[in-house]
Amino acid sequence: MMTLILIAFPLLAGFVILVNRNPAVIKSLSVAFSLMQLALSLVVVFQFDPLAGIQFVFQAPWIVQLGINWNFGMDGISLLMVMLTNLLIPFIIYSGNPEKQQRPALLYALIFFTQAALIGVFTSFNAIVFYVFWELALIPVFFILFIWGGPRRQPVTLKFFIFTLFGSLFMLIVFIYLYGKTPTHDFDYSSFTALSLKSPGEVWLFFLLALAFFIKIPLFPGHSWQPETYTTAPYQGSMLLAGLLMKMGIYGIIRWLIPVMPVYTEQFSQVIIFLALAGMIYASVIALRQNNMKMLIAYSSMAHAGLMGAAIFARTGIAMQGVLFQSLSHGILIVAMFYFIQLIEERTDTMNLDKLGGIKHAAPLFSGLMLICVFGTIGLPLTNGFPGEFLMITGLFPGMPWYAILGGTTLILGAVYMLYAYQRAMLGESNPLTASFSELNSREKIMIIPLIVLIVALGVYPQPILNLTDNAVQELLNYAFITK
Amino acid sequence: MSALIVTTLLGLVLLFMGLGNTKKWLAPFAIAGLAVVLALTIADWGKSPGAFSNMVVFDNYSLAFNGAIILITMLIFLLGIEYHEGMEKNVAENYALMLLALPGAYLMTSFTNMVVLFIGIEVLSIPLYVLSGSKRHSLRSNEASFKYFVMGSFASAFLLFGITLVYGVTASFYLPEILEFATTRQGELPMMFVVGISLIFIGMAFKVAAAPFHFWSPDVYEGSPTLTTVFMATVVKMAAFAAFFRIISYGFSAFSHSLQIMLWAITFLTLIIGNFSALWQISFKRLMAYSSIANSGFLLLAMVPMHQLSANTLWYYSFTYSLATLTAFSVFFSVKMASGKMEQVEIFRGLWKQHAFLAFALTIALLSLAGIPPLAGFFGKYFVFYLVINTGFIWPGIIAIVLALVGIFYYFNVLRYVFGESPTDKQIPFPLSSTIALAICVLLIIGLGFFPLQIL
Repeated sequence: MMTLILIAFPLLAGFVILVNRNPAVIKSLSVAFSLMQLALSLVVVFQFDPLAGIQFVFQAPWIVQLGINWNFGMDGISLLMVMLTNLLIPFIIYSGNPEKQQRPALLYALIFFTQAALIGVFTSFNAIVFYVFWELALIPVFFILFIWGGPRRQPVTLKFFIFTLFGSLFMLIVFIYLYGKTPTHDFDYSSFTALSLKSPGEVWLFFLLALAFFIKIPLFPGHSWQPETYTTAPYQGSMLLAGLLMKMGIYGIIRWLIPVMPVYTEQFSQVIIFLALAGMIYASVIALRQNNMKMLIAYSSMAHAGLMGAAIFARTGIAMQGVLFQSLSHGILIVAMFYFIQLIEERTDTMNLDKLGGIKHAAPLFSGLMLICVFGTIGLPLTNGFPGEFLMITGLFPGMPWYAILGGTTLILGAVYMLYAYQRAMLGESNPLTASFSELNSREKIMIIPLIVLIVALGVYPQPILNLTDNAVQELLNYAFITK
Repeated sequence: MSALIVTTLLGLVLLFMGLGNTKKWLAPFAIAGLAVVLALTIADWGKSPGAFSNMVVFDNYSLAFNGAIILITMLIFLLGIEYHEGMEKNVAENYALMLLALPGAYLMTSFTNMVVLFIGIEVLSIPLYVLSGSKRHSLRSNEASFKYFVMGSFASAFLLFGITLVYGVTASFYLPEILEFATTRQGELPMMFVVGISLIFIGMAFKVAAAPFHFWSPDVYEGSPTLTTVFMATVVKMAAFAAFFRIISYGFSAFSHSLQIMLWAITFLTLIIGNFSALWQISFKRLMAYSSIANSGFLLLAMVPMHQLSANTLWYYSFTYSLATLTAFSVFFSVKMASGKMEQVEIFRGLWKQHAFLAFALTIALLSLAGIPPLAGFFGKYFVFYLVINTGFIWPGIIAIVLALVGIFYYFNVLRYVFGESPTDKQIPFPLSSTIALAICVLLIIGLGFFPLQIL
């Protein structure tokens, strides 16, 4: 029941927001609703038993003849993703300024609809319900990008939409095909995982399904929509995309690809890890050459995704834990990062690193806090970027040390481009544009300080999060190796 | 049967109401009358009454289609109030002709005898030839009417020839008896029979505007008065598909490999030509015409594999398609009137700022046509893919999905205008009657998405 409430509440909140006209009311109401949702999910966390399996189950018939049933629930992995969503949405909402946005009611309602759909994605245990929510999450985001985006938003957004839809329609084919193979003729998670597909003739299922998730994340070679879309999107849209929608792909692989097709996963894991790491290096190298900060973050996000993709297919418990932890911390970091860039753009009207420099002199607090965030992004110990990356590299080691070494060295590339960009924007001589750069005001501090606290706290003490997902990961690995 | 009689009488009464000064009563009267017809139709549910020595049988299949057709017609009449606002003459005839076409549609959904099929098609078509030419002083309307008439007669001729050939072999017009003939002679079907059936299929393909017999439809859709276009795209389409499937469901194509191949070829040609041609359209009406062809492709895809779900899918898909098309056209009509009768897609530019409700309705309609969950259009497409893949046709399924993706392009191209910046701020008047019709459509599109009906 709790799961259902978590899905329904943002949906209702969205409709309530929709009828408001006053920007100030919209903002405060939205923040209040999103915090209430966060509180609700904290209640769930405290009731949650990490040692039990899927909890808070809700089942009801929907289209019985076709084996489609409402089937929601949460295990540790789902709960982590739900928490991530509910944690980030208040920040994403708070970061906007409805006074300056056109049609704010619609925008904030769409953000809430996205939230509802995301929670649906992370909690459905019926393939078609999963698919419906998966597409549903795309629609509000599409409109957010389509209406509030920057120049050239329409072709860019359409490209993004077609790409992701292309992937997900193949997912639909795979699900329908798998349905035909289940002895009970239904779409339930448990029936799918019981299939144990082995025959070489059905390998195409694996590729079609993997493609859907790879495009969403995006992993090489499904990535070409990403940099432009992140850059053209409004800041709140970029935060949604990088912070949350990307995790849908990660979650999809963990939940629907590996347990359903463990044999094929094993067959192709080497190839995929190679591709993912190649994509990571490729993205890092491009990031080195970027002058546009938003573009830089887009590529850095792609590089992080590459490592996460590689670690998922390492299929070790440690790596999987690392991926999940990194999903959480990457979400927090990227939202913070985009917010810093948003503030810089608001103050200087540019995202071009060549035109910036010396912001540190005018705004020491701003630069200091941003440095912490940059450290987090490059995975420095005691920030939340570290445990995830450490676990992922460690998890890659047992089977494939060379890949682990490759992945580890690539992290250095990340440090290079992030610190280089930071240096160009923040350090050095100030110019007329940055000399009058104003310090963080109290409104902005309310947004930034909790994020920084999270970054540091999770870096210092990651254990609670790891405990949350531990059991679910073990169970997942049982699925993944049971057919061996 | 009573539904058929009442509809005919209603049509005649409306025709005579046109003699007096009764314009504002026409639509309410017609809608009230249709409500009675709908009730009569529902009352027959599950009883399968036959008539005329079982030449027509109103089984559940036929009643489901009739019910949907009546509902759509009621919504069209509700929109007709606004549409006929500025018209002084011949309003009653418009309503009456549509009503008089409906019995033809009933016959097409319920025939078991090929002659009745032919009569049904003619009864449905003849009022439409008149309606599409009802703007007497418009060159386009005249052209549309003439084209529709010539092409329609051509198709009827094919159909009739096919029926004759089949009769020549089997000595019967009754579908069950024809089936019996085909089953007893399994594998050894006379050439004349196969040719006859294929001619019937070609005639039906003309009627549903399946490629390569679709050339008339964009011109006719564009030239006809908008309300007639809506009627053609919804009611006529549903009736034609219901009739087509009634023939196919007897499984003649399964006896002959070449017929099977022909149907698959028609299906994929329709899908490809419809979807790709729609990409280049500037006129909204032509866009909807090609979208209608593309959707014919999906409907064909639902019936060619002959899955047990085919009938229901056909019904659900065509009904939801009709709802979405109706919505799109009604928004189009209002915007067109506010933009100096232009028909390009561009007239939607900035609609979301000019009239939020219209923009919302159009968005829902287009998303549904594009097959985005959880709207009704998604489940229509889902059922199609479902039954295609589950009857073992995986490659056709994959190709169809790719073509569905092409569809996203042109539907979203319209949305691009809707959510774009507008150079002018025009006022779009939208009366209460149309708002009600539109609200019903939108609610049905959303509602049927959450409760995809399985009534057949």
